[in-house]
Amino acid sequence: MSASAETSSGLALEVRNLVKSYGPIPGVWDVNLGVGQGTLHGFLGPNGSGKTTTIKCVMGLLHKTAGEIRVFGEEPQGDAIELKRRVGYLPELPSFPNYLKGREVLLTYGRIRGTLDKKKLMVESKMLLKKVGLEDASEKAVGKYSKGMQTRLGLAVAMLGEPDLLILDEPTEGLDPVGVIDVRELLKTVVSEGRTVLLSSHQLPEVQQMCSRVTVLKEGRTVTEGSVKELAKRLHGGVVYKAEFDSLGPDLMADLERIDGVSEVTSVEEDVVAILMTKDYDVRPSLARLAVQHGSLLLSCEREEASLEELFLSLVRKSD
Amino acid sequence: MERAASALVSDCIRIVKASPGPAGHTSGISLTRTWAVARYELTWDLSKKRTFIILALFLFTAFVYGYLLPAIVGESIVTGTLLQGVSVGSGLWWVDAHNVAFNTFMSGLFPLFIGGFIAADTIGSEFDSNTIVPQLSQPVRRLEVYAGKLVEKILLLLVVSTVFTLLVVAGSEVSVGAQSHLEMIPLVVLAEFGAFLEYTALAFFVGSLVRSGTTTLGILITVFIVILGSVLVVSLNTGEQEYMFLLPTVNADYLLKSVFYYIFQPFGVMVLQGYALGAGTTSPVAVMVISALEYAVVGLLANLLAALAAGYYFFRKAEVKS
Repeated sequence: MSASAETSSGLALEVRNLVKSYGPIPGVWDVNLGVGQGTLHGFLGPNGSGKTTTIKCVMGLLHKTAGEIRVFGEEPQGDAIELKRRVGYLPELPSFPNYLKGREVLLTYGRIRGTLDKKKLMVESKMLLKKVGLEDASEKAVGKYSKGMQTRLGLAVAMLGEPDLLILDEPTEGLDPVGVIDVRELLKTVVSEGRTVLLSSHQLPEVQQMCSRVTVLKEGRTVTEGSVKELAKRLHGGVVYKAEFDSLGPDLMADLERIDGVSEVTSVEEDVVAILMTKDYDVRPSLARLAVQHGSLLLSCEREEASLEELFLSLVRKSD
Repeated sequence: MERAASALVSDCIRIVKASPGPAGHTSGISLTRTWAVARYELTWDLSKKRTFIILALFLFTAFVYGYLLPAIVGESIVTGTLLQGVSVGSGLWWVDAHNVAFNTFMSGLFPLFIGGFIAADTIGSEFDSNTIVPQLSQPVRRLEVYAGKLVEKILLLLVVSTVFTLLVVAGSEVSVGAQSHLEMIPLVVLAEFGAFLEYTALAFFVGSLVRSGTTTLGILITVFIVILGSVLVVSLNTGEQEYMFLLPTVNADYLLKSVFYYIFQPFGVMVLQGYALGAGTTSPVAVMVISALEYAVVGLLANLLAALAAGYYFFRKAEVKS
């Protein structure tokens, strides 16, 4: 990252108390988000939680009702040309004119960005198409692209001009497994170059694997933010037990939830449960005792770090 | 309207005052970016079936009115209908073709098709299809996006007006012999272009307001029907017309005729039948033409400014919700 890209707060993107309402209907009403420079930050939340609304407010596609948005320490004003030059954006459903070929899309948006050097633009377009795995489809009309190919193309457009901050809304949506892996590798490379990525995704294992920090939204507000480990510790002492019983009836399930320090019990498969803890202590003796009381047996029990998926479900279900 | 115009003016002032930025970029308006949007728009327009169908029909009209009709009828009908007392013969058939195309009961239909239908896709449909998102996400001013789209439409409409006029002249030359008053061609082209541009401006305004191509089309057609219908009813019953010529779709028709009449004035005394003074009333053209031209030009400019300024106001405010 260039020196000029660094800010005193160390944040590439900062959103404070963001409110966006559509008349009387609130879209988001208290979103807080801090994306550190040079990091890959996960942005999570169920459908309709306000992720896309927040991102659109950042990009100036929606006008915030209240709150503060800072990109590299500066509040976007008016058309925010200089800031937008440093930000690349992939919308959830990227849409390009059907008649354009893949290569032409990049040339077109490159020109709209104000790139004068045609040769440079052609080299950059070729390089980006290669990066997103579309070099063989560069002469194909976008109208003939699959959904996954359109997403890849959108990613290439977002990376035009080597922006310092990439905001990606569901970048692996519609991609085949190879495409997903390619995008993951690409994003890792981007971050290794010192650039910042905000990744909005429903793919929780992907976010856990790639992101150093996450922000979780629910019903238009931020419910938590931090590293996956921090969140796990904060919510469950960072611990989850996976227990397999000989037989697992509803009574035993109910009693498991009553054990001291247990926040949630979720069924993983038949007779196997994940037990999320709010306290980090050995719960196995209690599990074995309860199993016997209910005429069952504890066959196995392993202590694991809580996964993002478990944390996410716990957070989302908590206030339902 | 006042707020829209003021927003446009303040944006322009800000752009003019803006200082150069780093790396060769200016923080003011960029002609490169504006032109890039215009190029994008032109490529898209020329890739649409709808554009080609409309343009093909328009060229077909040029063929029918410029070549086929004079071949069948044999001479100009100008003297018998719109310009009394002027004997022009077949040499002015090409003017007649324009009059028939633009000044019949269909007046305003061609400008609606050419200027309105093509432009309805420009802003309204781009919000519909979300293709506006990659544009607005780039480091580009909304004014540049708006201006780029407008510049492309201006160029396209100028070319269409010129080609249509030249085809009609050429067709008439082949069909009924040499045509006269060819020095009027630029004025006729300008008149057509003005008529087209009014609908384009209206489409920019409505498209920015409703952010839907289909709704924009529907509103343009409704505006056309309501205004034209109102003018017919009011003029036939009361003879009061002048204020109505300020309305967009009527002005589209009237502007063209006004230019013709203004140019024809030196040839002698002419009367405008059924216009401005009521059905059946006649008046020396010396008075009428000036009045009509003023109405037409003032009306055109006022409509263009109002629609484009209001369009930009809403475009600048427009949100991408879907």
